This record gives sequence, C-alpha cells and structure tokens, in this order.
Amino acid sequence: MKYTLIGICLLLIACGGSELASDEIYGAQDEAVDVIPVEAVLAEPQHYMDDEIAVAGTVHEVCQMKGCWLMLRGLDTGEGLRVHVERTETGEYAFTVPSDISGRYAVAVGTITTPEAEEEAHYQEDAPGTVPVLSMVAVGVRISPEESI
Amino acid sequence: MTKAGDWKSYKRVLLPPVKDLHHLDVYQEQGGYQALRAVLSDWKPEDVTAEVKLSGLRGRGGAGFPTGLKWSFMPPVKPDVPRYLCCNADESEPGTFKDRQLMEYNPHLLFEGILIAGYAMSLKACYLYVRGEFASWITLLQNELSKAYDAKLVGDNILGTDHSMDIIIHKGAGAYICGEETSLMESLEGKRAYPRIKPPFPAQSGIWGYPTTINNVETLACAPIIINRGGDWFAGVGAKKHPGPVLYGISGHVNRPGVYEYPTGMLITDLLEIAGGMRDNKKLKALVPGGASVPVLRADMIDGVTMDVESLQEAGSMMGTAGMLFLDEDTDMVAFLRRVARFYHHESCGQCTPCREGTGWMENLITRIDDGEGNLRDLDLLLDLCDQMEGRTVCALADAAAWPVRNTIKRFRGDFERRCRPAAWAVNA
Repeated sequence: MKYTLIGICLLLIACGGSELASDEIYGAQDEAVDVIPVEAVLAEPQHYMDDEIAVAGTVHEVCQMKGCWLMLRGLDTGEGLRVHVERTETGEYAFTVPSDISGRYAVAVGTITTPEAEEEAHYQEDAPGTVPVLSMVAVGVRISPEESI
Repeated sequence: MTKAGDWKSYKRVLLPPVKDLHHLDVYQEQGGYQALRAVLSDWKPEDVTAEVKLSGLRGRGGAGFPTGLKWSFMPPVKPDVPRYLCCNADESEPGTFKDRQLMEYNPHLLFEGILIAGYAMSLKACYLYVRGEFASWITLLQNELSKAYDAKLVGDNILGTDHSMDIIIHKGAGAYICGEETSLMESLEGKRAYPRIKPPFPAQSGIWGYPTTINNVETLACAPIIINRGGDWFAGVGAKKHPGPVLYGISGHVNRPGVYEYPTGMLITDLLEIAGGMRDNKKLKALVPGGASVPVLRADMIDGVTMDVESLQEAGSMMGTAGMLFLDEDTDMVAFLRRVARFYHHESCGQCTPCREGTGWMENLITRIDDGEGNLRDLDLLLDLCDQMEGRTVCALADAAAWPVRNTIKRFRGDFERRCRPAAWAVNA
C-alpha cells in the first residue's frame, strides 16, 4: 500500500513536471514565422520596421504592476527591445504576462516600432533605466521554461 | 474623396434592402449560408482565421480589437477540453441600437457568422447572450434558430459534414454590466454578474473555466461577408486601419434618426447630412460619436473628422459602438451629463469601491450643479474624482463613467460655470 502511494505521488510529480516543462503562450498562438534573435533586430532595425516578426531573447525586466511589458535582451545584454502588449481602443490589455519571468527565454510576436514618448515615460515611471531605441507591440509571447538562451 | 471612398454608391451588405430577409428561405434565396457551405467543404479552420485577419475586421462592440487576432488567442485544441464562443448581444450602451436591427432583420447572417467562427476556432457550442429587455427579439431569434436546426444548418453534422455546433440563446436580466465580457460569463454561469479580474483572460479561462472567445453581434455578422467577398474586399472598404461596413446608430436632435449602414471612415458631417441634418435647422452643439461612454466632441472639433479609430483618436474621442448622438445648440450640457451620470451610478455593479462610491458622488455633484446649488470648486472635485476612478477598478465601467464627465466638463466648462453659484469672494465684492 505504502509503495502504491509513493508510486502515485511520483507519477503526479512526473506529470506536473512535464506540464511545467512546456512553453507558456500568452496572447496569439505561434504562427509559422521565422524567429529572429533580438541582437539582429537591434543591429539592423530598418529591415524590420513596421513588420510583424518573431523576436527571441532573454527577459531582463518585466512589468511588476500588470505584466503589460517586458524587456528582451540578447546574449551581450546590451541594448534592449521594449515589448509591450497590444491594447484595445479603450486601453485594456489584450493579454498580460506573469511578473516572475525575468531570466527566461522568450519569443515575442508583434510589430517593431519606435517607442512613443508618452508611453515610454510611463514605463520609465515603472522601472527607470535606459530608454530603448526600439519597441514592439506584441500580439503574443511564448515563454520557455529554460533559464536564458 | 474621403476615407470612405465613393460612399454614395455603397451597397448594403449587413442590412440589405430585402423584404422578409429574417426568414430562412428568403435568406437562402439571397445566397445565405453559402459562406458556411464553402468553409465546411474547402477551408481549413486556420485559413478562416487568416482570412479574417487579412480583412482587418475590428470588433464592433466598442473596444475595436482586431477580430482575427482575438480568434488566434484560443489555445490549441485538446480532445477532452471544451471551448466556447459567446456572442455578446447584451446591447445596453445608451445611444447604441444597431445589434437589435441585425437580430431583427438579418438573424441568419448572425447565425452563419457564429457557425463560421465556431469552425475557425474548432469549437462546438456558442452562447448567444441577449439583453433581457429584447423579449420579442429573443422569440424571433429562437424561432429562426429552430428553423436552422431543422434544416441541419446548426446542430450535429452540419450540412452532412463531421462538424457539429450548437447555438444556445441565453436571456439576460437587464443589467448593463453583463455587456462586460467577464460579467457576461459570470451571468451565464448563473452567478451574480461581478466582473472577473484578468488574467486569466477568457481565451485561457472563460465560461466554466474553459477557453472562450467573446464577440459582438455585428462583428460575427461580418464573417460570412468576409468569406463570400474575400478579406481583400473587406479591407478595401472604408478606412484603411479600421475597414469594413459599419452600422451607424444615429440619434439625438436630427431629422431622421436611425441605423445607417456605410463604410467606416465616413465624414461626421456627411453622416449628419444623411440623417437629414439638425432638427428645426438648429446648430450642432456637441456630438457623442460612439455611445454614452466615449468623450463628447464640440461642434468645432468635428470638421474633417471621420468615423474610424485613427481619426477619432486624433480628435480626442473614440469610435466605440458608432452610436452617434447629435446634440443641438439648445442642449443643456449639465442636464445631459446628469442623465449620463445617473445611468452609470444605477448600473455600477458595486464590486469595486472607486466605482460604487465614485459614480454616486458624480451623480450627487452634477445634480447639485444642475439644481443651481453647486460651487465652482465642485467642478475640480469632479475632475479629481475622475482621477480617483479611472484605471482603479476590475472592469472598465468606472472608466466609462469618468470619460464623459471629464470631457464634458473640460469641453463645456462655461456651461457648467454659469450654473454654479458665484464664489464667496465675488459675492462679497
């Protein structure tokens, strides 16, 4: 009986583990788009401006209030890409991301733009730091369980 | 040429001028359910979503979110996990009455849209949540739905295919808050309609905790049109960033109030002309362009403004539900705002303190001003109250209550000041 209970517990842990191991998707589900490293986008933004693309990087900061933005950085941890979620006309967020995903590998799908001064000022209130050159309006974010790339 | 293009030759597609179109046989004679047949026989579900994305359709319920994108939020299908579509027909926004027209004159277009959306998102059931006061419309919808079931257009093995889907008409009980998507789900589940905190969002955990997409009546009615005519056609109608046909519900002090179907991007001045101009040749004083909760515009602010998200945002308002309320020069803006504030106070569900208390204080203060007993400082107090309400509640009702108050006071401050008692120092002087 004891061994049966231990077996069931192990099975439950294993099932829980496999659930945790899968990617978490927020917003739009993945589509067949090529994933571009964030360094490549930051190096040559003119190639990607106003296009819907998928950008991969490590989450360095995330909105602690609502999970409405995150900062993606590459391996060099230099400049970052501000990823903020799509909003409705009335200002509601289409989706949000968890606030404890810093350090995790993520792929964000959306449109690359230049940050709007007013919006960036709001983010700077949340988390003061370097003002990014680029931002992305994301329609979906896939977060890997892996720590970093 | 405006963003709406050659609107004078526009032919209606949502409410075409066909007698008895609400009858199934007439609808089918006019080509009804062809889009559904095509989709079920030749399209993959993901292609339907892609076509809707291509069309650029934005939700017509007020938030204006891209519909195809919303559909793509649904998680991958799991065999034992049910998923739902919910059609929000709880049309209660003051000044909005266009979904009712669709349900009355073209209900099968709505059913067909629901079935296409259901196929695109691989789901088997849709709840059609209709405002309780629409009793006769509910009877009409139920009758026509029964006919569609008998014709094997709804239910098991639709049109002989292996796709099955049920449509369940649910009657609301008359609360405005049930038009908010999470309250609507609570109400459907038989609970008190308190809005839910997001996340989780409905696509993650909706009705009964299962993935759910919620769309407005007019939004879903656009789906068969997109399939029949193509996403490209739809994207080419009206304003580029907010395309498609739209039902403008025009009311207020105009000669011919009613629901008018035209492309998005129509000049407000053209729409006023279509509605017969201002009643008794009076001058226009103000316009509420998208239902009571959107910011009011002064007459001098509407020149060159078109009915689409981009243009209205620049002008300082929103498209909302395209329920346009024209107010003439004799309108008492204080009395107008008192009515609006009373509505939101009455309809606040009471879950969040800033909304429950704030809407009450708003009504009290505006009533005091309207009765000639207000002070000038009450105006600043009202604006401060708006600051304390906006963005501090679970749902957007507090925002919807604060926007008209803030903007009406800012844009018609003189009207309010004239109704206030003079300041004490002025009396003493």
